[in-house]
Amino acid sequence: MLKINGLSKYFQSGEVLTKAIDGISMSVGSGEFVAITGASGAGKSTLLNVLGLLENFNEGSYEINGTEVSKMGDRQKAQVRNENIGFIFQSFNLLPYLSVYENIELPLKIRGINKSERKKSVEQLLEKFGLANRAKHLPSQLSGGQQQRVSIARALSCAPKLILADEPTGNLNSEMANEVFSMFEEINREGTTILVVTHDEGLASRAHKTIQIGDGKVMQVS
Amino acid sequence: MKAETEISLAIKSFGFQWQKYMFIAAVMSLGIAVFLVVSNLYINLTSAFEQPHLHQLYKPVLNDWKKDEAFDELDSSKLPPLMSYQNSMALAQIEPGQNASSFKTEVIYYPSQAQSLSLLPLSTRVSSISFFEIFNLHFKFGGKDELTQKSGAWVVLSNQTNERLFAGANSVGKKLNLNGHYFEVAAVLEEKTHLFREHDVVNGAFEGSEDIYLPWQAADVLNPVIRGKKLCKDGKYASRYLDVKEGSCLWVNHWVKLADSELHAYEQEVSSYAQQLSATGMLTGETPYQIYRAKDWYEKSGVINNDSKIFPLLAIAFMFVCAVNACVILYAQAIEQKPDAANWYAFGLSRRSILSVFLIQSGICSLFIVALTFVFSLVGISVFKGIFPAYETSLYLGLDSFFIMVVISISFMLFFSLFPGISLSRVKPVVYLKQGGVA
Ligand SMILES: Nc1ncnc2c1ncn2[C@@H]1O[C@H](COP(=O)(O)OP(=O)(O)O)[C@@H](O)[C@H]1O
Ligand SMILES: [Mg+2]
Repeated sequence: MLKINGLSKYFQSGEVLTKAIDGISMSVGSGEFVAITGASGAGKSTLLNVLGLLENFNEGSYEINGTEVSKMGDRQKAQVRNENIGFIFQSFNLLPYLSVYENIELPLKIRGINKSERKKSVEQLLEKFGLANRAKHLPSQLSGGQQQRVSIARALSCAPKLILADEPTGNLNSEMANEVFSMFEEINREGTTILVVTHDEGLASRAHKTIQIGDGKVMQVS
Repeated sequence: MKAETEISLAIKSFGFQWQKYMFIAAVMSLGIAVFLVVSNLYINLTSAFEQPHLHQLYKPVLNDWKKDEAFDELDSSKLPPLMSYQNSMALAQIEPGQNASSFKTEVIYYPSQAQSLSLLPLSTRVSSISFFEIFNLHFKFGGKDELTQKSGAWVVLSNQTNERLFAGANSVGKKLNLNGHYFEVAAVLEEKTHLFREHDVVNGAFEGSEDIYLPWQAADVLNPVIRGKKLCKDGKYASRYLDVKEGSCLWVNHWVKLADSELHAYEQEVSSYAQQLSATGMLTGETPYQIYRAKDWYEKSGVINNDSKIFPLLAIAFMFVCAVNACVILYAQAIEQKPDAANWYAFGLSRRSILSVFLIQSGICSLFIVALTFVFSLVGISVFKGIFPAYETSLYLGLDSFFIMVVISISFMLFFSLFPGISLSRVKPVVYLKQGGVA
């Protein structure tokens, strides 16, 4: 599903050149559940952002579903993000002025799905994540755990093949973090590929594969 | 990417930020409203030149005063051309067309015992009967027949004066006591229906109109106060009509109505009259006489003076300042919207669509600008009419103003949104998604 080869990403700030990713090669197959671990500043987020087409890279190659990313234009990338990738962020990043329902509906709207089909999908997700009675609430009226459930539902709304989650449990207590990982396991069983960045070794061990990153390089795969 | 999605996103996010957009709308519409009202006024004023009856009006001017004669206490270097009573009467003899002579003064109205009024000073224009025809003034009551019947003892009331003295009733035939003499009302003028006013030509811009009109014969009887040039004739103080009637410093307004074919002959007559005067040493200067077209006289007498020409420019400048302000707020608005845009971007909105959403938001804002501009302009116009009642019927927001309003609002907003919109669409999503915490 994803294939990267010698991928590098630099940040130039003033005189200092940071190699956030330094020649990483790896591939992630369809249906895998991969945890990415590593110290702070190791390059985990940068890797995920590049994989999610939110950021360009400097060297190497990146193929997603057989298409070379560096050859895609902005619109094509937008389409890939919309149709194939679901993002989950540490700080949820829900739109504050949209209700729970509307937040989950957003990717479907962007995709151009018609209203009745959107309704069907969103209601299913609300049901699945126990948010049915919160549909009209604004994100600010929800707890952190509930907000993260909304953001997972949003990530799933377009039925993407790939979920990218950057420390999704970082702002949650351990009980809620467990719950989120249980959801990931369930989503993964239904066939969705998951890449999740986490600090928590216990949680990471629930993935099929753990990739440890250090200084922008792959240190260990287990 | 469906336009429908962009529109619905734009509406949502507009609703979230409506306060800022309303502020932009208020600032922008204020600028446009000021521009609209001022330009409307200006166009109104200038279009008054185009009235057909003005094309045949001419003003002969004789520069018959001498520099060593004391004249005006204020600015002796820029003295106005002068037409004495004598010269005016002499020119009236040679004119082939109609002519109108007049001067402005003031008489006191003595109310009858039945009227609960005190002594009332009335601004008065002493004039010939043809004055009303030449300046295309229409009558509400009475008319030319009554004026000729009463020959030297008529009085014409402005509509306003008729309201004041006779509560708007038909007062033709009623007698008025002016300075202790009785005059019979021969006619009442209609309300002015357009901006051009005869007194703009004879008095200059924005001076009030006359309360009443009296015949020349009445001036001999009433001997009214002369306005303005008090020092006259060998430095002697002259304050009343009869003191200066025979002299050279009674400033008479003299107009003549000529067909094109009559103009040449008339010029020659005036020229030979001026030569006669020059020969006796009465006229000085290289051009002892001039003949102005009404339009030129308008310019010269400052009906559209340089001040009023500056107003449209000031209005444009003001509108520009407002636009700059709106632009700055829009830019701040775009910066604040970056976390949202980053979010949209992550879920599949292309950069172009982000720009579209921002432009649509501005489009919505421009609808509010149109509405507010409409309100502000109406308020502005009614305030202006309150101050200058003469504009009552001539100043209004026409369909063309409305059209201009819509075009300016929308094009301004789209133009000024382009730069902030592009900057928004170039958002670095990662920066804002990492900060997160939008909720
Ligand atoms: N926008 C940026 N500009 C400059 N340096 C950056 C930027 N983003 C990340 N970095 C640097 O890249 C390195 C990797 O960062 P990141 O991927 O966020 O690490 P992690 O998520 O593993 O903590 C760090 O040294 C960080 O300082
Ligand atoms: Mg990180």
